[in-house]
Amino acid sequence: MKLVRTKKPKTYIPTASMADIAFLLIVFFMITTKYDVDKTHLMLPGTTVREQVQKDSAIIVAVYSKSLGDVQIKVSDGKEPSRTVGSIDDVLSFAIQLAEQDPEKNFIIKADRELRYEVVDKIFDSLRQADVRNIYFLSVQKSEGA
Amino acid sequence: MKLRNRQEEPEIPTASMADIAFLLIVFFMLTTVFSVTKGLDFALPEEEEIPDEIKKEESIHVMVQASGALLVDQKPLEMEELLAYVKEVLTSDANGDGVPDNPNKPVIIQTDPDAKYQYMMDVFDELRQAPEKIDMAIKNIAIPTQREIDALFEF
Repeated sequence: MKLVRTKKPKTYIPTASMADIAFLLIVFFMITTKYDVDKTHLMLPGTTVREQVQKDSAIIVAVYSKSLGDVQIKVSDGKEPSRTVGSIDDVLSFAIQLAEQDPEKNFIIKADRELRYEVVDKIFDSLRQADVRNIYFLSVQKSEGA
Repeated sequence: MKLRNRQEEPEIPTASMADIAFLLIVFFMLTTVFSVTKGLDFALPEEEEIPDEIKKEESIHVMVQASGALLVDQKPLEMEELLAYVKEVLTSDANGDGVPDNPNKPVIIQTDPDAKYQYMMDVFDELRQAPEKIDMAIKNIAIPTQREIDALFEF
C-alpha cells in the first residue's frame, strides 16, 4: 500500500514592501520634525480657549530654577535658540530692539503655571512698555474637570 | 570545446537597507518634539481706541486674590458665577429703554502679585469662553500691569 505524504505548505511572509513602508515613515518624520527654539520643560497653564501662535514669534520664558533658587528668564527672537538673560529688566531692551525692527512682531510668554504672577506681570509690563501689540500666553489644553 | 561566457550579473546588496531605514525611523521618532504652539492671545487696541482713563463704575473689576478666590466688583464670586454676573451687568438696562446701557463695558482683571499665574489664566480663559457659555462676546478684556494700576486707579 502506498502512503501518500501530504505536502505541508511552506509559510512565507513577503517582505518586499517593508523597505517602502520604512522609507515612507522616514519621509513623514523628516517633514514633521520641528526644532524648537526653546526646549525648557515647565508646566504651562491649562486653558480651554487656545489659538495657534504665529511662526517665528519671539518667546519670553520664565521658570523657577531650583539650582539657581530664583526665576530664570530666557528670550528668543523666534529664529535662534533661547538664551538666558540676567533679569527681567533685560526683557525690556530685548523687546524694544525687536519691536523697532518689526512693530507687528508677535511675542509669546511661556511661563510655569505655578510661578508667582508678579514675575509674569513684570514681563508683561516690559512688553507693554516696548509697545508690543500682540502677546500670546502659551498654554496647554485644559482637561475636563481640571 | 564549448566555451561558456559567464557574465557576472551586477548586484547591489540591499540586505542592510531595511536595517538602516529602521535606524533612521527610530532616530526621528526620538527627536520629534510635538511642540506646544497654542495659547491665549492678547492684542492691544489701536492707540486711538485707548481711553484716557477708565472710571471704576464704567468697568467690571475682577480681582484675583493670592488664594485664587475672586472678588468681582468687591463681591466674592465663584468662577462658575463669573460669566453670569458679567452678562447681567453688560445687559443691564437701568433707564428701561430696551437697550443695554453699556454693553461695551471693559472687564478688568487685576491679579494679586502673590497669586499663581494659573489663577489669572483661569479667569482670562473663562472670560474668553463667553461666546459659548453666555452667548455673548466680551469685547474688552483688560489686564493692566501693576505699574499701570498704581498710576491710573485709586481703590
